[in-house]
Amino acid sequence: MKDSLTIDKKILIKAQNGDLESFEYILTFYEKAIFNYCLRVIKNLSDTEDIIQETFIKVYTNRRSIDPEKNIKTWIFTIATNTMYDYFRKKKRKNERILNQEDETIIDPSAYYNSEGLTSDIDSALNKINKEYKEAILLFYQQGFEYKEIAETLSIPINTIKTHISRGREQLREILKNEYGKN
Amino acid sequence: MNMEKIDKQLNNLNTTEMSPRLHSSIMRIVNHKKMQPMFLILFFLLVFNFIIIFWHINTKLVDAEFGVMMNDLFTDFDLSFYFIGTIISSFFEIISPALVLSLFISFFGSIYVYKKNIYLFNFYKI
Repeated sequence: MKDSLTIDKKILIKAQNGDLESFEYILTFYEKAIFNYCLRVIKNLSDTEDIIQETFIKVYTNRRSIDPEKNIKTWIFTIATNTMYDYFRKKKRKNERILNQEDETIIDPSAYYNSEGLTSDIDSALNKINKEYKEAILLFYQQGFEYKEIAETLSIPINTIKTHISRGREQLREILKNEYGKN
Repeated sequence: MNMEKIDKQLNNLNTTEMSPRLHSSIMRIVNHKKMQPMFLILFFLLVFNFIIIFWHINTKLVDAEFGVMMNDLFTDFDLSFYFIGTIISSFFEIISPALVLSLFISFFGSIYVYKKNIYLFNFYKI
């Protein structure tokens, strides 16, 4: 997933003009990365699927904003992140309206991976750190983004990103030390 | 646990494949979005055609005093096969069958296009 996440300019120009084959190429190129990023942040498989769907529909609808000269990776991840923020806002409003309603099945991504036999303590620990730190850490480690790209995606200054990653790692170390007894 | 180990684990975070169902669902929605303007134009053309033909038929029937004729026939013959046969033949003398067929095609065509559009939209949702 951390391999070169770049797409040929010609494909971007074609996608910009509404070519569905090029759009599918972009979708295939980024779907797995965005899916894994969102799944870890959202922690709910069905909502993650909705967000992925909404993200790529937004990508298609706003295809004219694609700048072939710029990095499309950060643009798509920004759309995904904003869609997730909208999701959290809606969820917050819903929770304020309907208290104590258990209408959703929350899935811990680590449990999701667990069913595939792939879990680790780091997966569980990641779910316990601050959301801001988690987003920055996931983009940095899981997606192989540079600080500048993370800053662009999350609309946060580079120095704040560095602080988030550093604090996130620190939190992870504390959690792993205290809860899983790893020194 | 030292930071190096944490970094190593973070670099090797588990990933999973996205469902192919989700991929095809996105492509279907996008495809539909591309087709939607065409569907809308077709729908409005059919509705417009229906209104024009309906207005034209109505004007012709009013001019030919078809309503009065129907009323007279009904008082003379009551509701019988003869009455229905006379009404139908009189109707097609005033209005061409091709025009009536066109009215039906416009009417059912617009309903079909509308329903098909809504059906596709719902179908795309996961």
